[in-house]
Amino acid sequence: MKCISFLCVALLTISSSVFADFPEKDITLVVPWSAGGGTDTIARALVKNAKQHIGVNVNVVNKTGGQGAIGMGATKRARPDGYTVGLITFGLSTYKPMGLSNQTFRDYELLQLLNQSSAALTVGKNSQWNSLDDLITYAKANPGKVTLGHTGAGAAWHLSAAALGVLYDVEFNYIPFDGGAPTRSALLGGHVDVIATGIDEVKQLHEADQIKILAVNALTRHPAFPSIPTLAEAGYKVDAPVLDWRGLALPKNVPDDRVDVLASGFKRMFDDPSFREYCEKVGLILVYENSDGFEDFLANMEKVLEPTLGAVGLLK
Amino acid sequence: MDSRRIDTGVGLGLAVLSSVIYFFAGQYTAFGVNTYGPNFFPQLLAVLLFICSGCLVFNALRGNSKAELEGFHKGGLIKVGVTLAIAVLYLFAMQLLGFVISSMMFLYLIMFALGKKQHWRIALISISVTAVVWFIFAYLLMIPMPEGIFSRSY
Amino acid sequence: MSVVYLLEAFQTILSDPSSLLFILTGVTAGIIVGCLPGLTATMGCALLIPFTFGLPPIQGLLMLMGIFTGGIYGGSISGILIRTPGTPAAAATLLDGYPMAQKGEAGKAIGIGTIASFVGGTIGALIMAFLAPQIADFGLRFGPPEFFALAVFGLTMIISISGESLLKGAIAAILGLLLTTIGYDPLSGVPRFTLENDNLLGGITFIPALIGMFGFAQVFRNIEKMEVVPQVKSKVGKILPSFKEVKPLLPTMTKSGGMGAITGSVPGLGCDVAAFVAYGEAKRTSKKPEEFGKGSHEGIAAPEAANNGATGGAMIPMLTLGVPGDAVTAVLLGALTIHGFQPGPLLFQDHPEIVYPIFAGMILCQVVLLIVGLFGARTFSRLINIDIKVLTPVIFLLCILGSYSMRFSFFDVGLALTIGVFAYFMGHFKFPVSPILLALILGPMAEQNMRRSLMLSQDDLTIFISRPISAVFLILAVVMVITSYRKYKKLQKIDNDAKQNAQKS
Repeated sequence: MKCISFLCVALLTISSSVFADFPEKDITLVVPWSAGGGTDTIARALVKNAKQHIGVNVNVVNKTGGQGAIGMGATKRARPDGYTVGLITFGLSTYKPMGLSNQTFRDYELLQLLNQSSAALTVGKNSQWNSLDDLITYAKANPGKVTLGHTGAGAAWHLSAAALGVLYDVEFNYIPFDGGAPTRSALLGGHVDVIATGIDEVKQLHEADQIKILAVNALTRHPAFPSIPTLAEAGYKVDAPVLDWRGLALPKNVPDDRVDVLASGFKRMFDDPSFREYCEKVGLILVYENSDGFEDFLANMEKVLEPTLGAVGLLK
Repeated sequence: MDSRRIDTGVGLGLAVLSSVIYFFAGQYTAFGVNTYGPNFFPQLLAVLLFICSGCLVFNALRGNSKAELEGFHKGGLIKVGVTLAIAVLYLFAMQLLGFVISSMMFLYLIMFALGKKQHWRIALISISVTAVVWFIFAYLLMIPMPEGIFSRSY
Repeated sequence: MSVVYLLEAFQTILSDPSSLLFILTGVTAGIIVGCLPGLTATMGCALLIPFTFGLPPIQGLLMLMGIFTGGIYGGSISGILIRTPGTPAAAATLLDGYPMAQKGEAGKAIGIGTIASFVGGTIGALIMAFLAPQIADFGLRFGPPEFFALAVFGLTMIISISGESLLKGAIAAILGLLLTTIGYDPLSGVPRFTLENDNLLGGITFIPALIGMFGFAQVFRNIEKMEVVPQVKSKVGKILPSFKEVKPLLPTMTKSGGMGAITGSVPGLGCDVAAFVAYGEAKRTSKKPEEFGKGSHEGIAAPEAANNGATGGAMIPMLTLGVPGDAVTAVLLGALTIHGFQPGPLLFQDHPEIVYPIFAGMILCQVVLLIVGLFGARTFSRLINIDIKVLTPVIFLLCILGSYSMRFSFFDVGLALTIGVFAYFMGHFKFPVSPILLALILGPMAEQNMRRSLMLSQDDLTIFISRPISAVFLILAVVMVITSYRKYKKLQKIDNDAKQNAQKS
């Protein structure tokens, strides 16, 4: 008896939702990194004014662990009703080649690209090197002597620096740390010679004149750092730089009309002036690509990453 | 309870475990890393564990493990098993029926299993505790509780 | 100079009653979140950040700092009452807090904890206000070899928390260290012991392990013993500790508070490490070490003073360098950024109007904590008078939800239950569980920094002794092992004699 009534309730709710407007209740945004971190604050800033743009609130839920694989996996397996949107990040480009998890961007219905960050090579305030050329010349003359700290094996910044090293045949002594903050403090304390991090991660130290940024691994200069040369300008051209990226995605099989509602709704949140202002303040470059553009970008990223991963021995 | 038998058994078990860990950790190699790779720490620990478990067995056989172990209270042990089973069922029920209904059932069943027989009282306690907990977790802290088949989207 | 600024800041905060209200709300909310197992101070802060968007920055920060302070303190209440630490930082407090509650002195245990938290927290806040830049520079001198040495030093506390058998304590610690090797290895990018399961890629998550080892294991013990052991009733009447009882504890509290602040200020160490280090040190230097683990007042005062002292310490690198000292300050860092303040070397010059209220607010948080805590002690200590057949199921439910809410994962609940069953049997076989916990905290720090150091030195082992700070900590670790071991032998002898005497009579 109980079972039947349960079924009735279930059926009723299903049938009512078919005719209802979408969205009729709050949307969940799954963030695969912990609360208070960089990715999380961006997500929270993005959905702050959600109600104006999509009619309902968007609640951020942090599902952390497994280098982001847990949260992204949760998005992939979520009910395809459009009420679960996931934030996806760089790790998704490396899971499969590194043998960490089987997920790739092909498992998702891509919504849009949010931002791209580029790597910066940074040395301490009192370092003997004043330009990228100084550093590379020295490192070539003393193979393995220059210690280069990065944020973790397989992270975007590790691969970005390794790609440069492989291309120009420079042997650095790579020292992996666990995230951006410990890497920065290792440089400030003089425990490593150079660090590779996202350029936005060293913005504050740059403004306080505590460090020297030698170059940014991007095709164009960063608007918040107009004085920092790109790798090509510094004399070491890299054709396709490894970029960190963040984007939004849905599980597969969400009905098309709902995808459209979400795509335009999140685009409006993305264009919200207060979100733009926040990103400018923390030095993040917003890059919009719609679903197709995002897919091209990720497919291209795979091609760029494989040889680099192979060169540092992380390809499985 | 006989601490000699227990210590010997546990020690032997740990020795086997440490050997297995040592063997598996040996597979973790990485390219371009120095001598102390991802296999080093687990293997070092496995060796230490093996030595310690050897000492444990040795001490027990020589009759040095003098500590008196707590005996199991048999009726209590059965109750532990029953409540554990209820808890596992609860985890599945929560995914099917959602948080509210399954939690009330869980509290009711556990209290009943522990020997509370006043049905009305424990039902009342179950309902009120669930309500308070739901209010704190789902409403104040906005933690998404499992909704099961009663989710509004379907 | 800074004293004037600080007094001005006090005036600004105190002249606006709403600020005090925000502190009060924050501290109270923090205590509640903290004493629920699985809900940590970190989570409380993260959940409240959206609310602070709308507030003026100072008010918002005061509330968040209140949650931080209250959350670290609140964890020990559940540790004392039900042997389930609400936050990792309270895991050392329960070693003596729970035995004391079992003697019917729960109120007194909470009272001592509150006063110690206040003393330690105030010392931490003062150190933060006056020595922040100097301490931040000291913290920077910690590179990989220093962190490794520090982790080794921390692991020597195992001797103090092993209970009856050192060998069993060591085995527990090794098992704990092995657990930390599960998951993705950030140094090599290799997944270890994950059994191809994505859920294990991030390793054994700390909170479910904590809830399993203490919460579930205790629930099972309660259920087993329910029929044979009568329930403890909290004594009515005089609940709070008298000044006579508190006075001899003041030196311990002061010392532990200072140690906590320093420990907390090293990025990467947190309130939890501070508490264990202070506990071990207090036991090593105590005049009555035999009481530790059986309800020693010092055993509560030391970790409580240290973990609240560490809250002030953890703020130091966050404010001065923009490098968070632990998880909670990472969240606070995010909050400051959202309000438009970039923590870092420039913050002190450019925004004294936010820095000094933070210092003043941290001190006020401690005062509010003392008041709320002492008023609450009476109510809290009555909680264990609830019928155990009702209380145990409720704790059971809260532990399940606590392990679920960490990341909304049923896998974590299953993991916590499994660890709980193991810990329950470990308890029966006289294996202590606290060393596992300490190993879980320090394991990744020890392993990663050891390997990182050897990468830096290119396999040269002398790097650990050729750098002064690292050498000092390794020497301290050896001293700690020797003196604690002697004390341990002495205590064992006392115990044995007592047992033999008991048998004779």
